[in-house]
Amino acid sequence: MSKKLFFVLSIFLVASFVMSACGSATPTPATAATINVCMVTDSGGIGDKSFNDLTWSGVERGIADFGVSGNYLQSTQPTDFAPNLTACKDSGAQLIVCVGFMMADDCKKAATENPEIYYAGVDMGGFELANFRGVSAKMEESSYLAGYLAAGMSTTGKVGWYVGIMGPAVQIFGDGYYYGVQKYNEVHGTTVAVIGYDANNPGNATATGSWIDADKGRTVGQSQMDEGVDIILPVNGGVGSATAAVMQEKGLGYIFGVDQDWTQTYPQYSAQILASLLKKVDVHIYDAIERLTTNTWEGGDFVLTLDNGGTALAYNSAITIPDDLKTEIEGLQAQIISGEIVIPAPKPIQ
Amino acid sequence: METPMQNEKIKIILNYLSNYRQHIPGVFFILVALFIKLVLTKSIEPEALTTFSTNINHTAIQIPNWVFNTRFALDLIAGLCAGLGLYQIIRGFKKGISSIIGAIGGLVVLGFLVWGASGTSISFTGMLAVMVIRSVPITIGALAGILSERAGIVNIAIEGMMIAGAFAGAVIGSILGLWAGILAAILIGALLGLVHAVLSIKYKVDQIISGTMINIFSTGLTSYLFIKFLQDSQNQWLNESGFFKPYAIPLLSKIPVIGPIFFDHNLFIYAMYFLVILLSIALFKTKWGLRHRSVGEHPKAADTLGVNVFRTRYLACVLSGMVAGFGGAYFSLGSVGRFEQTMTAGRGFIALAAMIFGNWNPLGALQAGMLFGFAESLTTKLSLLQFPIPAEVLLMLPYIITMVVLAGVVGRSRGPAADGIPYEKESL
Repeated sequence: MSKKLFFVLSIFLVASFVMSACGSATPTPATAATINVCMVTDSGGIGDKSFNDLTWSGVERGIADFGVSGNYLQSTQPTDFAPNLTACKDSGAQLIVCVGFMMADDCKKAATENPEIYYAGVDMGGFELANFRGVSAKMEESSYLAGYLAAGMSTTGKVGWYVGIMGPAVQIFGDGYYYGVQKYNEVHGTTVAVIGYDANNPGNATATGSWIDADKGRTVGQSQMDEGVDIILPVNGGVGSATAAVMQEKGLGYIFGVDQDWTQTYPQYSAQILASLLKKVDVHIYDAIERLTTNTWEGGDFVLTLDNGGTALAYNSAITIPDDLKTEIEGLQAQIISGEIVIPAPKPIQ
Repeated sequence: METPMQNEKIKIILNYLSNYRQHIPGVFFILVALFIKLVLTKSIEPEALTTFSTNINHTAIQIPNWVFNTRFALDLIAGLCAGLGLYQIIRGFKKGISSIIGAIGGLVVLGFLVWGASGTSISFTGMLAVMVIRSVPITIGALAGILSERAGIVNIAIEGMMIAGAFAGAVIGSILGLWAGILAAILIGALLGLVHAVLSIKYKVDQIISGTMINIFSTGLTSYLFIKFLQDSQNQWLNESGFFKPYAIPLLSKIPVIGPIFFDHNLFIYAMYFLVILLSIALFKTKWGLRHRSVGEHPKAADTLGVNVFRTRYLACVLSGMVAGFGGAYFSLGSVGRFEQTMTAGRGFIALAAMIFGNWNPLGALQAGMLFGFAESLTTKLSLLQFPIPAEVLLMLPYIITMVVLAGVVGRSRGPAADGIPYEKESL
C-alpha cells in the first residue's frame, strides 16, 4: 500500500519540480546549431508580458534568423538566480542572457568567473567586461513625453506614479515623468501634481514591494484614485496592469503601458491604456546574438534611445488625444533627440 | 548558599518590581505623548490644516470633509496618550492593559496620518475601503485553515489551493462565465482538500509534508499551464474572465463613511462577511460544530462517544479546500480579471498567521485580516504623502505591526489540542 503511495507521491513531486523549475519551451531545432543561447528570467518569469517576454522574443528572433538554439530557465525568487546561471553554464550555453537588475550582481559574478562564455544582460550594464554586453535605456526620454501627455490629458490635475521596488533602472521612469509634468505646467501655466513620486526625493516613492502581487497593483491604483488621480504610470511589470482593472470598474482613468505595447498584451484593458512606453530590449538581445554569430562581439552597453527607436511612446489609437497635444509632444521629442531638452540627472535614492 | 539576608534582599527587589511593573507601560505611554508633542508638532505651522476626505463615490450620502487644525489634533492625541499613561501609573488598567496598548498604537498611527496629511488631504474613507478589500484573501484563507485545524488536520496547503482556485477561476470563468469560474475554483479546492485528507488521514503522511507537496504541485502546475497555454496570444481569450463588479447594498451603502467602507464592494467581500458569521455559528453554536471541534481536541474521546473521527476529518479537509479555492478565485475573478503566475504572492501563508493570531476563531481571523489589510493600506497612503521613511522600511510596516500586535496585544494563542496528530483507532 505505502509503496504504491510513495511511488505516486514521488511522481507528483518530480513532476511539479520539473514543471516549476524549467519550462523549456523551445525544442532544439533539428539542424544541430553550434551556438546555444540560455536565458535566465527574473521572478516575473516568462508570461509577464513585460521584459522577460520581450527578451525571450529577441532570443526567438535570433533562433529564427541565425539558426542558434535557445532555451530559458525560470526564476521564482532571487535565490534562484545563481543556481540558474550555473545550470545554463553546465548545459553548454555559449551565450547566457540575464534578465532584470535584481540579477545584476549574480550575472556580473558569473561573467567574471567564466570569461570563455558570453553574457548579455537586460536592465543592467556598465560592467566593463569583455565577455558582457549590457543594455541601458533612456527611458526618461519616453517617460518625459508620457508625463507631458498625462498632464495634458488629466481632468483632475493629479497624475500618479508607482513602482514595484525602487532602483536606478526604474527611477528614470519617475524622473522623466515628473519633469515632463513640470514642463507641461511651465508651458501651460497649470499646477498638475505628481502623486507617488518626487524627483527630489526618490527614496520615498510609492512602491508595491512586489513584482507578482497583481491585487496589490490594483489596490495601490485605487488608493491613488481615491486621492483624485486619474492617470497613472505604473512601473511594475504585469502588476501595474491590474490598476487598469479598477479603472475599468470605475469607468474612468488611464494608465500607461510599460516596456511593451499594452493594447496588444492586455487587450481586455485597452480602453484604459492611454499609451505605452516601449523598451525594445529585444533589439539589444538580437544584436548580441547577431554579433556572436558574425564574430563582431564587443564588450559594452547597448543604449536604447528615442533616437535609435529603442524606446518610444506608442499611442493607443482608440483614445482621442487632441492634435495640439500630439504636435507639442512631437516637438518635445525632436528637442530631446537634438539635445535641446536635457532631463536632469537622477538624484541618489535614500 | 543563599543566606537569609540575601533572600530578604531578593524579596525586596522582586516586591519593588512587582509593585512598579505597572509603571513601565505608563512611562512608555507618556514618552509616546512627549514624542508627538515635541517632535511631530514642532514641524507644523500653528494654522496648518489637515483634511480627511470622506467621500469616495456617489452612492453614499455626501458629507463634508473633516478639516481640522493639525496642531490641535496632535495636541489632543498627545493629551490622550499622556492621560492614559498617568492613569496607568497611578491606578493601573489591570486586565484591560492589552486593549489600552492597542489603543495607544491606534493613536500613534492616527497621529502620523494627521501629521503626514498636514497642509494637504488624505482619503480616510478610501484608506479603510482598501483595508477591507486587502483583508479578503487573508480572512478567507484563515477561515479555510480554521475549518481543517479545528478538526485536527494542519493545512498549510492553503496557498496552493488558492493559486489553483485562481487559475481554475480565470480559465473556466473565461469559457463559461464568472459564476462557473467560482464553482470551478471551489471544486478544484475540494479536490486538493481531498488529496490532503487521503494523504494525511488514510496514509498518515506528515501533514506538513503533504501540505507542502500540494503547494509545490499547484504552483508548479499552474505556472506550467500558464506558460504553456495561456501566454500564447491565440489563447488569450482563455485568460480574460473579467471580474465581479461591485454591488452597493441598498440603504447600508448610503451611510456616510461606513457605507463605502463596508457595503460597496463585490461578491467576495460580502462572501467573507457571510462565511465569518456562518462559521462562527456553525462551529460554536451547533451540534455539528461541537463534534467537529471535539475531533480536533480529543479525537479518542469523540470516537468513544460515537463521533466518526475519520469522516469528520475528511469533511473538514474538503470544506477547507472549498473555502480556500473560493478565496483563490478572489485573485482572478474578484480583483484583476485574469490569472498571473504566483499571483497569490504568499497570501495563503499570511492567512495561516492570521488564523493563529485570531486564535482559531472566525471573528479573530477577520480582525487579523483587517489589521493586516489596514497596515498595507496605511503604508500606501503614507507613501503617497511622501512620508519621510524609506519605501523599503515602509513596506515592512504590515509585518512589523502584525508582529507587535501578535506579541503584545494578543499574547499566547492556543490551538486545538490534537492538531496535526494523525488519529489511529486502537485495534482490539
